Amino acid sequence: MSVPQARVSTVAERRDRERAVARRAEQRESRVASGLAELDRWLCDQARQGLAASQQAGYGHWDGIAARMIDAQAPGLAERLRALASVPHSGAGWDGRLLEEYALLHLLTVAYRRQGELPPPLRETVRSRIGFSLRQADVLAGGQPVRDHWQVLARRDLEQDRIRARRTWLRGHTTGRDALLLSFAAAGQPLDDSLTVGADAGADLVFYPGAVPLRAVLQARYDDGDGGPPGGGRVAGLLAGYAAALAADPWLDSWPAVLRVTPARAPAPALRDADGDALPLHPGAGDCWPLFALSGGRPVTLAGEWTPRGLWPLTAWDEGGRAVTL
Amino acid sequence: MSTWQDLVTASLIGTERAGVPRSGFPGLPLPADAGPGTPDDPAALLLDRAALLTIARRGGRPAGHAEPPPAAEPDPAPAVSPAAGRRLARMLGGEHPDLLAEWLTAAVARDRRVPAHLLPVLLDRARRVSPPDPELRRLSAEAGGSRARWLAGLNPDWTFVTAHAGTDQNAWRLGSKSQRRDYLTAMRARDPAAARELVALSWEAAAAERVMFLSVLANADLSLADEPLLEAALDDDNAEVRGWAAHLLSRLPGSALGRRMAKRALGCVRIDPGVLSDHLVLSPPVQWDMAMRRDGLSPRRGGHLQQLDDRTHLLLEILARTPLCTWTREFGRTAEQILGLLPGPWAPVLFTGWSRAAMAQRDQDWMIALINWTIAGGPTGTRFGAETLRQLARRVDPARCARETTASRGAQLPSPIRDAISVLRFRYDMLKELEP
Repeated sequence: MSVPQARVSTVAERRDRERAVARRAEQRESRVASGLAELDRWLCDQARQGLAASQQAGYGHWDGIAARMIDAQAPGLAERLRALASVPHSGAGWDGRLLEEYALLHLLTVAYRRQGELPPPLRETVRSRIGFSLRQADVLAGGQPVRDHWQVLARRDLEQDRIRARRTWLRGHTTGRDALLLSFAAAGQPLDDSLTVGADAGADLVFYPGAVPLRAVLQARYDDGDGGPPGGGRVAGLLAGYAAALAADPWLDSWPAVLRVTPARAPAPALRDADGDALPLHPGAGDCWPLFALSGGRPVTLAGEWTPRGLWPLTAWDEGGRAVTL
Repeated sequence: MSTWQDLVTASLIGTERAGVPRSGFPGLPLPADAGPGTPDDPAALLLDRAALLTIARRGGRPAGHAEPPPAAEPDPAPAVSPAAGRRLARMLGGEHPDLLAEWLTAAVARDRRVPAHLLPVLLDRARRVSPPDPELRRLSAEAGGSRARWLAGLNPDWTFVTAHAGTDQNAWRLGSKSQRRDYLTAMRARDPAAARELVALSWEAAAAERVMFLSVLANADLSLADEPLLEAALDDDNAEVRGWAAHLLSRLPGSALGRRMAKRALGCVRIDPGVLSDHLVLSPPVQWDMAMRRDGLSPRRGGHLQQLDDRTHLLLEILARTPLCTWTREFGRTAEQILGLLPGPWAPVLFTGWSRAAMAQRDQDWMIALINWTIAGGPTGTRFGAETLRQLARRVDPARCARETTASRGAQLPSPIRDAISVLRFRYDMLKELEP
C-alpha cells in the first residue's frame, strides 16, 4: 500500500523541483540583466569622466565593480574586470588597451540586452562570456562527438583566485579542427595530466556550442600514438584564420597558432616565416631564450596562443621531432 | 579621417569635456553621428565606436617585419640522449644540483651536447652560482658547443662562453680576475704545458693572483711537470699559497712531498701480528717540526674535528696526505683487507684520513673499499664520519659499487647511509644515460 503513495509524492516532488529550477533560472536571468545594466552605466561613467584617472586608481576601483558582478551571478565578467587592474601599469599603450577592454565589455552588455536578435551559436558565446556555464553532462548529451587523432599541441597553466586552470590545445589530424580542453584544480592540487604534449590521442570530443566552437570536452579515448611535429603554417594564414574567427566571436582573444618560423630579436622579439612576414612575441612571455636556443637562428615548428598583444609560445619541436615545452 | 589614437585621446579626457571623434578604419564605412542604433549618450557612442575599431584592428592587423640573427654553426657532436636531457632539466630545476658538474664532465668526455633549449638555464646557473665556479662555466661552455657560443653572441650575460673558447688574449692581459681565471682554466684544459709556462712567467704577481693560479689546478689533472713550481711555492711568503701548494702536491702521484708523508705515516701505523688475528696499531706523532709545517701540516684543530686532541689531529692530516699505495705496498694487502684490520677506537680517524686521501688522489679502489665498509656498518655515527660519507658517495665510481648498494637493506639504515645510497643510485643512472 505504501508503494503507490511514494510514487505519487515523487512525481509531485519532481514537479516542484522543476518549478524551483525554472524559478531560479528566471531569478538569475533578471539578476544578470540588472547587473549588466549597472556595468554598462559604470563603463559609460568611465568614458564620461575620462580614463586618465585610472592610472591613480587602486585595485579597489575594479574589485568593487567585479564584486557586484559576482553578486549579479556573472562571474565571467567579474574575472575580466579584475584582470583590468594591472592594465594601467602594463607600459606604453595602456590607455588604448584599457579602452579596448571597456569597449568589448560594453559590446557584451549590448549583445546580452539584444540576445533575442542573435543567432543561437552567438547567443551561446555571449552567455558563456558572461558566465552562464554549461554542465559537462549537458554538453556531452547535446553535441555530436568528433572522432579524430588529436595532436596535443600545447598546454598552459594559469592560476587565478586559488584555482589552477590548465588549457590544453589539440588539433585533429583528419578534421584539422582545433580544440581547447580546460581542466581545473584547487591551488596545491595536481592538474589533469592524462594528455602529454607532443603525443597523439585518439579520442571523441564534444564541442561546447558557440559561434567559434573551440572549447571541448573529452568523451572517450580509444588509443594513443607517438605523435610528431605538426605541420607549421605561415603568418598570413594565422592572421586570416584569426580574423575570420573574430568576425564570428569578437571577444576571442586567444587563438591557437602552429607556425614554421624563425625567432628574431630585432627590432623586438618576434617570429618570421618563410614569406618574410613577422609577428611579435607576447611581451609577458619573457625573453623566450629557450626558444631562441632551440632554433639556433633556423626555422622551428612552434605552437602557441596568438593574442592581440602577440604570440605566447608554448611548445617547439627540436631537430629530432621531439616536443619541448617552453 | 580620425584614427584609433584620436579615440583613445578622447577617452582619456572623457566625453564630459571632449567630443567623440568619427574614427574609422580603412575599408570600413565611417560611423554615423546619429540615426537608428546610435546611442544618444556620447559615452556609449564612444564605447560603440571603440568596440568596432578594436575588432577591426585586431582582425585587420598586418604582418610586421623582423630580422632573425645569422644561424648558428652546425655542431658535429650529437646531443645527449632524451633521458639524459630530461635528467639535466630536473637537476637544473633543483634535484641534486651539486652533481651538475659531474653530468657536464661526463657529457664533455663523451663529446655529447646539452639539449639546446636547456642552455639558457644552464648558462645562467653557471654565471650566477655563488661562490663563482670557473670550472662549471668552462664545462657549460664546452658541453654547450657551437650553440652556446651562438647564444653568447646574442646575450652579453653569457660572454664567458666565448672567453672559454680561450682565444681572447685580452681576457688575460686586461680582464678582471674572474676573466683571467676563466682564461687560465680553459688554457689548462687545452694545453697544460702552455698554461704552466704562462703561470711561471706571471708568478711574481700579487699573492692573490698566485692563489688564483694554484686554485685553477684544483680540478686539473696534475703531472710531475707541475712539481717544481709547487715545491717552490711551499716556501712562499703567503700562507694561502703555501696551503694550496701542499694540498696540490699531496694529490700528485710520485711527488717528493708524498714520499715525506709516507715516511711520517709509516712511523705512526703498523701491523701487529696478534694471537688470533693481525691488527693495526697506531701511535700519533710526538712532535711537530718545521719540516712538517713546510709540508702544510698543522696541529690546529677546526671544523668538525674539535673533539680530537692535537696529536690525533696531526695524525689525521698525515694520513690524508699520504699516498695510499704506501699502505697496500707496505702491508702487502688490498684496501679491503686493510680496512678489515681497523681497531675500534681509531677507526673514525683512519676512515676520515684515508677517505680524504682517496678523494684527493682519486683512488677508486680505496673509495670503493671505504664506502662498502661504511655501508656495512662503519663509523658514520660521528658528525665527520657522515660528512666524509656524503663526499665519498659523490666521488666514487657508482658503477663499481652499485651491486653492493642496490642490494642493501631498505629502511632501517641510518640516514647518512640512506642518503649516500640514493646519491649513488642517482649517479649510476645519470652516468648510464650519458653513455653513447
